[in-house]
Amino acid sequence: MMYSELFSAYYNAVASILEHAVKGDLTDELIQKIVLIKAFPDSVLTIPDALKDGSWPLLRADNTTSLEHTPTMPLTTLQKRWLKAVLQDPRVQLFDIRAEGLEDVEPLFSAEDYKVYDRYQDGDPFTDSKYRKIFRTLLAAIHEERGVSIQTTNRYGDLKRFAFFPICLEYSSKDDKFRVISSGKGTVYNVGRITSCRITDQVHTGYSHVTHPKSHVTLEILDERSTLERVMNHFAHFEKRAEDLGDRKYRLEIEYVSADETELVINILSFGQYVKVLEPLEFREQIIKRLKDQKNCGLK
Amino acid sequence: MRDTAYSELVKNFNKIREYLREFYVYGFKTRTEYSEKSARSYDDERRRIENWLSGYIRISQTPEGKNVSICVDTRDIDHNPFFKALKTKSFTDGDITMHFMIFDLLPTPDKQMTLRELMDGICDLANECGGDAIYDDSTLRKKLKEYEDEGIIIAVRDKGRTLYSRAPDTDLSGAYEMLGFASETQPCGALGNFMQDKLPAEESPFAYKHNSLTGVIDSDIVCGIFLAMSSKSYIEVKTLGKREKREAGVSPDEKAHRVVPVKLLVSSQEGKETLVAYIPGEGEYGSFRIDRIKEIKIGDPCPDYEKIREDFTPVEAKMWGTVCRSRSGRLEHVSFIIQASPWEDYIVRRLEREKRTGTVTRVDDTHYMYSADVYDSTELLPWIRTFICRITQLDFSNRTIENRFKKDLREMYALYGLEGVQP
Repeated sequence: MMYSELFSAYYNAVASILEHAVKGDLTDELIQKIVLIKAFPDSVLTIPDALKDGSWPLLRADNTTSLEHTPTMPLTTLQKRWLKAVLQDPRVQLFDIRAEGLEDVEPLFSAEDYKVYDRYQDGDPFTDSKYRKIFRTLLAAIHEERGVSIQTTNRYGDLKRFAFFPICLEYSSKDDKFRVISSGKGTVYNVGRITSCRITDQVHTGYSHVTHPKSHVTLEILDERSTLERVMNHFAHFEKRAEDLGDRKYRLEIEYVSADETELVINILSFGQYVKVLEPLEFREQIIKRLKDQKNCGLK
Repeated sequence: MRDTAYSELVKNFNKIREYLREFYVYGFKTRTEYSEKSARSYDDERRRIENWLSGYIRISQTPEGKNVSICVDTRDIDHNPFFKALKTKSFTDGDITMHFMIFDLLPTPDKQMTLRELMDGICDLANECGGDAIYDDSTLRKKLKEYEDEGIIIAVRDKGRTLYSRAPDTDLSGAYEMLGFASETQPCGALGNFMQDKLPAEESPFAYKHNSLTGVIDSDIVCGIFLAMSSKSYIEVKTLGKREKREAGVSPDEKAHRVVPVKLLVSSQEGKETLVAYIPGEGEYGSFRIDRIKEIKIGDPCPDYEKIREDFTPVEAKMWGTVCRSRSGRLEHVSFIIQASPWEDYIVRRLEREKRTGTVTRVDDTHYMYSADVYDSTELLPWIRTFICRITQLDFSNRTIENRFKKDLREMYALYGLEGVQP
């Protein structure tokens, strides 16, 4: 099925090598470079040799080839079926791509075949024409490295205007929302809250990479009721370091984007008494504050 | 492949799935702790993973030995590194040579050749590059049949002979960005990444938050499930036991089930995927964790497929998570009340947007009630705990679970020295 040599890094590397051989500009150095980019570090020990020693008789000793055409391969049926399936998704339709030739292709899956069951209900209005226009304007501004001027509503319903250089669109599968991130401090704006957006004449010339300020928290996990598995899966997408302390206890250090701290506090509380915050003190205090407030809620 | 004892490519990805997950999700075990596999197997798989995912590997030295983990913050990357692990299938010298020669000899869909013409062409091309390999008709015929099944070669019968041509190309110009986004957000996304590989690379304008990477490791299983769904067929599922049991060296607990696949459930928060299937032997729906499925086989078409799917709709309406049947045979009622000041309407919005079933009602100016009837009230406990500091009332029909929640809460107080004895 999906695990096929047709999609392998080796086939990709050799296709690229042969493309240059057909063009007539292939060198030994270029072969090494292509292999490192398209395949794996150890592949430099196998691919060039196989091409040179006749195991794969596709290349002559002088780095020319007997092939006449740049290597290409049509899409497999499985790829076409996937493409047809994803083009039905409203998020993917934001890109306004029409893939010709898929009319008789059966989609690999449909919206009825799968469900993201813990996705929040207030996702962006992906099919709304105004939203789609704003999304595409932001995308165009990112490509053109131009500034945008937006009007947006904040959480209190107030209209605000901002001008900034957008550097990327961040999508959250959990929130089902796009957020646009500005250069500089990396300020985040919900695309769904933007009511108007236009590209300005300003051209971005600065550094366009945003580094989110990060913090860390250290947890102690007691592996009861499969807590270890649940915690490790939940926090898998963070940069982290785990250690087995023995007696079913584990220490987990998580590095997180500081702006997401409240979300992390809530997530840690969700694991109950088997996950304890060890440090930092300020983070621990936030957990304690919520527990103290809970004690005062009068729950019998 | 090359004549070396170790190869960076593998024939069977299943062998390495567990290691990839272990290195990424857990990442604290040392060589000696991998009781399931032999030390030699561990060394080979570790070396492969270090090689495939170089740049994402962290090696630490602990008193117990060397420890390897896959370390990545998904907010810092624009593509899933595990895609690369799926591009490692081994092949023979003949496979790769014939592949490039077949498509060179058939450069456009209108060019047709017989098996003999293709064979002669391949031999000529190979000879020109100093190849001494001899390809026989049967190997080439098998390869062409394989490609016909993949949909990349078309074979037509004409006057008693078979003519081969390449399948028409699909125009993907301008689709690189869309493919990048879809490959990160849609099931079986690696297929989109494979398409990107054939296009000129562009910088991605996207970043991803809450992006679970591990689903990619199980792509082949999920793909098989979708294929079975679209052909309305049974599948045979071979499952592994729970991780803890396997770790402890308790019996492997492998089981085979013949089921009708109904729906794939994906968690955006816990990074897990679950198959809901109808189990004819039990006359009920059941769920199977995808990461615990070792392999699936697509079986015969199921004549009642549509009805089984239709009957699942009311079941799905009562599911909070992945549990689709009740232990007691009855639904369990869950309700709880939280307090929120008039200026804290974002808390009420949280209830509304995070609930997956059930209703939210206003009790008074500062109190709101959530209530639902579900198969398993245990599944709601983690969510209810996220409202700690506001919960004023709980009402579970399953009193054991309600009491467990309250006991757990007292243990949380104790954990931070606010009350009693630590758990």
